[in-house]
Parts: sequence; structure tokens; C-alpha cells
Amino acid sequence: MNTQFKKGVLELVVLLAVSKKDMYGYELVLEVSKFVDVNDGTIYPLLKRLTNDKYFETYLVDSTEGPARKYYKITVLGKQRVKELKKNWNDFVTSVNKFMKECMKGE
Amino acid sequence: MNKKSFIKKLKKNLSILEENEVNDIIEEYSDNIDEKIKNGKTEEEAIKDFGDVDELSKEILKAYKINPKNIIEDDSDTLHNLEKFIDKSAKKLSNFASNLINDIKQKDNITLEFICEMIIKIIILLIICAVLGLPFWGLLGLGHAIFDIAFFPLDVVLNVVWGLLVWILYFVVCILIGFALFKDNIKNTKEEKSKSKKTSKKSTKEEIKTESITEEKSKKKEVNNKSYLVSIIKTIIKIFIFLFFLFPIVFIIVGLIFAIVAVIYYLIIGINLWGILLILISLTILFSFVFCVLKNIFTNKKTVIYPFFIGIILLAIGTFVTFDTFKNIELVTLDEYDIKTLNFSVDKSTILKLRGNYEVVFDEKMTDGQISVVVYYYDDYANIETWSNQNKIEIFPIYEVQNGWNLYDEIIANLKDDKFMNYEKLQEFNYKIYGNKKTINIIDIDNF
Repeated sequence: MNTQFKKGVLELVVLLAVSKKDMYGYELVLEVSKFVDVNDGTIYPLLKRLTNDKYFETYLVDSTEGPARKYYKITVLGKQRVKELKKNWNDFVTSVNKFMKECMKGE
Repeated sequence: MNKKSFIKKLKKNLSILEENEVNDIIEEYSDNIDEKIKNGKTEEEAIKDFGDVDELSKEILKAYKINPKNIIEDDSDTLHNLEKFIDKSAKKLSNFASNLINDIKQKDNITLEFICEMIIKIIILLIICAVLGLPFWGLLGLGHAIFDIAFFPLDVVLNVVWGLLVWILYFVVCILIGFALFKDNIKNTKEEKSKSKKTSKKSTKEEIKTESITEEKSKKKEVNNKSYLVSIIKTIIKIFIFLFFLFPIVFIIVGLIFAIVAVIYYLIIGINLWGILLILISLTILFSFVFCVLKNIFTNKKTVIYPFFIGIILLAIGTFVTFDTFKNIELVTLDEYDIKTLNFSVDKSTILKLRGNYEVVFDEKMTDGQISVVVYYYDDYANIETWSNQNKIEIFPIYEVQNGWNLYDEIIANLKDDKFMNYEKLQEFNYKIYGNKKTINIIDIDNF
């Protein structure tokens, strides 16, 4: 997938993934990379940014193996953000689809 | 890159953040790496997933709304680019060379191809040596040019020693390159022979195993050869930098420091040289900066960049001040000569010795055997004296240095008043020699 597309959509994808279920970093990377080809170097800073912007909050859970894991949980603000981004995405997709249809007619 | 160096680099790049924040990030990332290793990835692969560390650090800093440009790019990118550039070009060169070698020796143990390979390698070696020779010839010429100033027996000795040194150095470099080219070749043929002997003795099952092992081994060896070539080429580049930049720069800096001391002395005497002092200081800073940058290539350290800007600013101010100072210096032309007329009587053939430009003027009104010499000169600098015996007349200047007059003092005194004269005229002596044709014919003018 085009990197420019990816960057724009990744925030929505990550927000959606966490809003479905609380996750820790590595879990999230696995989850997201099932759908979008993306590396850890993009996901982790994004998680940091979303946390700093108060869309996520974090808590630690002791794990059976190794040190405690940091889980990400969506906030009320985050939920609002998801709504907003979803709407933006849908609007964008419909208008692009519409435009594509118009163009196809002309062919 | 391993986990340790990855974390170290990350820590350094994020040092602007609060410590617990950094630790939090590092912990999370190292957990990720550990987890991946548990799931079967190698440490290297796990770190590769994070991409370039600098890029990653930039993204993290962006999450804190910090402009990463000033923090990460600043010195590491601009100055380490040189190191990276050398690294890259060395790698490219070595890749090219080793690919070429591999292409050539795909089928081994065949003498014809082995000979072909050798010939091609020798050609490569010759080309590389020829190209590498250019700076050495420059160095040789430079040395000869410098040593030719010395006196007769010394200059020959110095030239010979210098020539020997440069040649030895050149041969060492050439041999190193030749070694780099041919070493793996010799090794490979030996090892492959021994391997083929071993495999032929073993059973089919084992053969498959050993084959896979040898394949792995040869892969590893290839990597080793490449890194070996990289390090050799890197070393050669570093030697070049040392010889042609680092070493001369040290001399330049020492020279500049001497010049600064001299200028300070003249400043104390009272000559306005502030502009030149500024220029010299700025040049010292700039050269020291270049020196540090080059030196840090050897030690893999980073260099602070601000001395460069200080140097540039000082240079600009210095140039401006110098220009302003020179604009104010008044150029005084010395064109008034003193004139001295000397009369001689000549009755037989005589040598007239004089120093300077002369002009013979025939004057038939003058009596036979009489000549008169008019000397135009600047009497602050020298007096005109004559000396004669039976068939020789000598006219020569006596310089007045002994009398307390000194050109050097004069220049200093003039510079203090922002004046400068065309001092070379002080040493000009012009003569006009008058006499009738008969008399002039018997004298022989010797201009020494």
C-alpha cells in the first residue's frame, strides 16, 4: 500500500483496534500488520502521540513471562476522535468513489 | 545493529525528554524485541522492524511536539554524512570489486579461467595503482619544489630521501591493494580443493549435510571477504585523508599561529592590522574545525558545528575591516630623484663599472678625454661613491643602513601613518654618461 495512504489511515486503524480491546504494543503491531503492512517504527511513535494527545491512557499488567506489560486503553476523547476520523474516512471514500464512477462513465 | 547499540542510540537521540519518559519508551521497545526473539526472530531482524533509529527518534519526538531537526539532524547528519559517504563509497567499491571477482571465478579449478581471472585482476590492479599514483606524483613534485630552494648538496639529499619515501609509501599502498585483490583468490582455491576432497569420501546423506554446511560457510566467507575489502578500502581512504588533509592542515595551523603572533607584535608597535588579525584568527578556527572533522572520522566521534559559524562570521568581519584599513592607506609615489654629477678624465681605454640603468649621450662639445656621469638616485637610501685607478672607474652605491637609516624602519614608520610608498624605486639607480664620440669609444661600460 502507498505509504502516504498508510500514514493517513493508520491513526484510525490503531484507534479502532484499541477501542475494540485493550492491547499492549506488540499485540497491537501483530493485529494491525495483519491488515496493513507497517513496521514497529511507525506504530510505536504513533501510540506515543495518541497517548500524549489524551486519546489513549495506559496501565501496567503483570505478565507471567518477563516484565509488566503496558496496555493501551481508549479514552472518551479517543472515542470522539474515532467517530470524527471514521466520518472523515467515509466521506473521503464516498467522494473518491463517486469521482471514479464519473470518470468511468466518460471512458 | 544489536539491541544494546539500538537502545544506546535511541537513548542519546531522546535525551531531550524527561528521563522516566525515555526509560518508559526504552522498556516498551525492548519488551517488543524480547517478545519477537521468543517468537523465533533474530535480534537483528527484531530491530530491523523499527526501521532507521534516527527516523524512529524523529517520529517519537514529533509525538511530543518537539521539532526533531535541531536535535537529531544537527551534527549527526551534516558531519557524519562525510563518514557515511566514505563508508558507502567504500562498500560500493568493494561490492563492485568482489562481484567482479565472483563473476570471474564462478567456475574454478580450470586453469584457463584462472589465468583469465589473474590477467583481469592484474589489469584492475594496474588501473587502481595508476589512479592512486596521481596524488603521490603531486606530493613528489611539491617536495621537489620545496627542496629546490635549499643549497646545493642539501637539496639533492632531501630530494632523494623524499623521492624514496613517497615511492615506498606508494608501493605499500599498491601492495595492500594487490593483497586485497589476490588474497581471497588464493584462499578460496585452497579451501575449495580441500572441501571437494572431503565430500567425495563421505556417504550421500552426509554429503548433502556437508554441502549445505559448506554453502553456508562460503556465504559467510563471502561476507567476511566483503567486510575485509571494505575495511581495506576504508583504511586506504583514511590514510589518504591523513596524508593529504590532516597532515598539511597541522602545518597550516602552526603557520597561522606564527602569523598571529607576528601580527600581534606589529599591532603593539602601532600598525593598524586588526582586520588581518581577525582574518588569521578566523582561518585558524576554520582550519582547526576541518581538522577536528577529519580527525573524528578516525575516532568516530561527533563534532560540534558552531566553531564553523564563528569562523565564518570572524572572516567576514575581518575581510571588511581589512578592506576598510587598506582603503585608508595613502599611496605615496617616490619619483623625485637626487642628481649627482661626477666628472672623470680618461686618457686611455678604461672600464667604467656601474650598477643600474644607463644611457650614453654623445656630446661633441666636450673636450677629448673628459666624461661626465650624472647619477639619478634616491639619497635617503644610498650614497654614490666612486673609486678609480689607472684603467678602471667604479661607481657604486653605499647603503646607509650603517648610518641608522633602515628600509624596514621606514616602512614601519610609514605604515603607522597609514602610508605606503613604492619602495622598489629606492633601489633604482639611473645614469647618463656624457662625452664626445672619441672618448666614449675608449671606455668600456660594465654594468654589474
